[in-house]
Amino acid sequence: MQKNDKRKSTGKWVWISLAVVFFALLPLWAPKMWLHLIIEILIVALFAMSLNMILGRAGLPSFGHAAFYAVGGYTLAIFIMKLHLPFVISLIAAPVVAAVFAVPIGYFSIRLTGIHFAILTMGFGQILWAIAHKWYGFTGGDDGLTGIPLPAVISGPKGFYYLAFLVFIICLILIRMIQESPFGRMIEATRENRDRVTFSGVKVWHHLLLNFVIAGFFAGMAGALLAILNRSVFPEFGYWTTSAAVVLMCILGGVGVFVGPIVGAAIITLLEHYISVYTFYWQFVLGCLIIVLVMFMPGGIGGFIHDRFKRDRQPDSIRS
Amino acid sequence: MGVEDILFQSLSGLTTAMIYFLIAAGLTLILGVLKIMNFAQGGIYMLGAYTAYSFMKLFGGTNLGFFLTLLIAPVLVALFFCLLEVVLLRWFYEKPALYILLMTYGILIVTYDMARMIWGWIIKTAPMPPMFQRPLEIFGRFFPLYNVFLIFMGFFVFFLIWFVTRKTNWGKKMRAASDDREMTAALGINVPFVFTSVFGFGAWIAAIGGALVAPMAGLATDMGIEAGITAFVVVVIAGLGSLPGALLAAFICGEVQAFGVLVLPELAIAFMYVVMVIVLIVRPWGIFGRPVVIK
Amino acid sequence: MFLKIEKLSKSFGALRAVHDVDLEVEEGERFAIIGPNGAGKTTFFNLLTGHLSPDTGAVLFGGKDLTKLSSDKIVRRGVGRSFQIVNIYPEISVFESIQMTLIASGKKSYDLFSRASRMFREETKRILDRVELSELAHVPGGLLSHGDKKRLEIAMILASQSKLILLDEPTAGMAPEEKLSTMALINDLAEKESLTLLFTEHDMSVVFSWAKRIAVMVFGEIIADGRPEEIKENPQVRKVYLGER
Repeated sequence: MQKNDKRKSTGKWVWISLAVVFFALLPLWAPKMWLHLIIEILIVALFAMSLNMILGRAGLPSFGHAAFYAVGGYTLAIFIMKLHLPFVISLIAAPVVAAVFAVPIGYFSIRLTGIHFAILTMGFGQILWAIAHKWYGFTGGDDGLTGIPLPAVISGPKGFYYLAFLVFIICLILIRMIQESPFGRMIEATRENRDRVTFSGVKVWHHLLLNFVIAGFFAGMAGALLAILNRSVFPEFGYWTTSAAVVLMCILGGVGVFVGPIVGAAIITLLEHYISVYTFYWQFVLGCLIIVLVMFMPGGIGGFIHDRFKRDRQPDSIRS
Repeated sequence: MGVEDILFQSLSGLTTAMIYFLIAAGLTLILGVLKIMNFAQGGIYMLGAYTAYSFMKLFGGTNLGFFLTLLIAPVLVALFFCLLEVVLLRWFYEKPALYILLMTYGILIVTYDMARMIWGWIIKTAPMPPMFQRPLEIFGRFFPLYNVFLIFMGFFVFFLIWFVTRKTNWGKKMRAASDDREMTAALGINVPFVFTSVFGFGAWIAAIGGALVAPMAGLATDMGIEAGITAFVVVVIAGLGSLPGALLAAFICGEVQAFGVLVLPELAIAFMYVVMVIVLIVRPWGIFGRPVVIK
Repeated sequence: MFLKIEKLSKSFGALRAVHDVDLEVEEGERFAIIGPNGAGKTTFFNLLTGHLSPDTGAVLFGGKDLTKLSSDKIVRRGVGRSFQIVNIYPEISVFESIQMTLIASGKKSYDLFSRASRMFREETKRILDRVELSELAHVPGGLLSHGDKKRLEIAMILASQSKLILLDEPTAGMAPEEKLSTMALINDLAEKESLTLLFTEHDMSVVFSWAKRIAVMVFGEIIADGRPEEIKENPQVRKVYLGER
């Protein structure tokens, strides 16, 4: 039994290593367009992964997560362009500032669940969007902030690819670690039975708030990367449709599967790009896809594949 | 600011309020009876506006044409959405809310592109019926007569819904089916048909809202996106499923918008959200909602 | 005094659910609270575990005042409870449920960096053996039989290192043999771990077999309190119970 498990674990690591190597070597031969697209997918996937910490793990549907995405992007842009701070500092500041914003929003939202949580988070997101949209002096209003100056080493897609890839991998590892930690499991337990968690002597609110803030942190990181990719940031980063889109990505890919949000992000981003080539009406196609998916594949695409390839996966509990 | 100015502004706010109400009322009904969050409500509103636009143009922008449009267009749109309900939605009423959320979101973006495919991307203006083309002098200023009509229609729709749900047999069936689906079915009532008709009614309300708004402003396909969110905000402030709450919430949002624009025009677009955030923090179940204890 | 309840009262509008309850429970005692349905026993428990706050009165546990504390704090002081409607995790496995509770009571719930699946494995196995659930270790909680769910609840109470355990109708809905084995298990655990049990029950055979002290609650008030023999002879109790039949 133990040997079998070891072989399955090593098998998993072999695939992961191959994937990492593949993506690491990509810039050596892939055309610029592809690199740009893959970076975009990585960024959106990170954003989706951060949302899933709230949506999938805590079971709370946040429709305002794009607020932190936007805050991250704007922080980077403002720190570089208005405060003239070095790039590295701005990059690190972005997720931190996003996390700071997540504290009051989370504090009020965490009290609610379900549709009320969704609408309250959406409301906060819209307020932030409105502020970004109107505050010409600071945020550039609805023109946004464009032409962000960047260090030479990352100004081309190749250079930036490595930065984005590195950040993505680090964040992914951190998210994985947090989700597998006692804290992460406790969050999942709150999804199943909040009362029981309280009854184990745990302050559920504190944990949910911390989870929300961490998710905001990673969303801010993704937003900063997007600002770098586009060399600009716009209020639309924070509009509710951006939040809804990333909710969709998580559900599409499967909220119960670790890589689900990545799958969902990849699918929707690719669809957006490739269908746009043939028709303006890619949302029509996406809408039909969603409808078909809801009818036939409720676990999301990731969930569907996960179930098919489960075989006799031994759960952690009896592995010694 | 004089008394007359305040009164005028509140009349302006009342107009906005009625628009909000018309968008939200259908959602309230669908939420109250079918217990689903219809993400596509904004899309129905938008299709209602565009369909009305086409009919008004077809009828040559006449008064009679306008009223004919009001009679025909929303019904057509409602029937279309009844069809969607039968084919796509009815399977998910008993399932977790996420399915309906996604499904209606899918329908929303499909209708969004459908409108663009049929009517194109350019902003359209529906003809204002001649009878409303002269302004009304009120509180020392000129107020569009059409807005008065809109306000009147808003109240009319409110009383219509109230009457239907409280006083008719249909309304009784709605409430019974909403409370206890199995028991109602056991009594021989065709519950799926009742649900479809409720959805259709809710869609009709949104569609007529869109039709009424059509002559007032330019039609753009993304009017459904903003409207959809407005509907949710109003419904949540009201308390899920409460019709009088929806009217009151719409009124609050409309007036806050009207006066807020005078005080802080920059952030006018955010006022509704600020109201909602305050309500949700202080009273998470909405004004007329039933308190849910969240610890 | 291990657990001391003084003049505890709670009303819901005009309904006096719990009224002026005085109770003293000694360490290691097996104390049963009996009474007709709707007598206020569950409300009483809810007051003790912080799910409700009392209008007047105090709850003192080991000398410390628990009255106004929140549920999580009360649990951390050592009060555990099983619920009338079994309250477990539906999808998490038996093993992981116990593991989670150990993580919580071990104050590790804020740990962001360790691997949860590797923590407290030995202790979890020990508890599983204690409640005889080892074979069902990886079954999701929701799929267990009613009796096994109760055992899981007990396992989680053990994992919380509770010293005082409130059991709300522990044998409700069980067949006679199951009642016997469940109470035997609970009693055995209570002896081995020096636990104090405060339980409500409807089944008199269970009460009179296992309780060392009994209090009778009618309409939220305690009308009798003493050893089983005393309660049997108590005229008021006889009126309440026999009068009802």
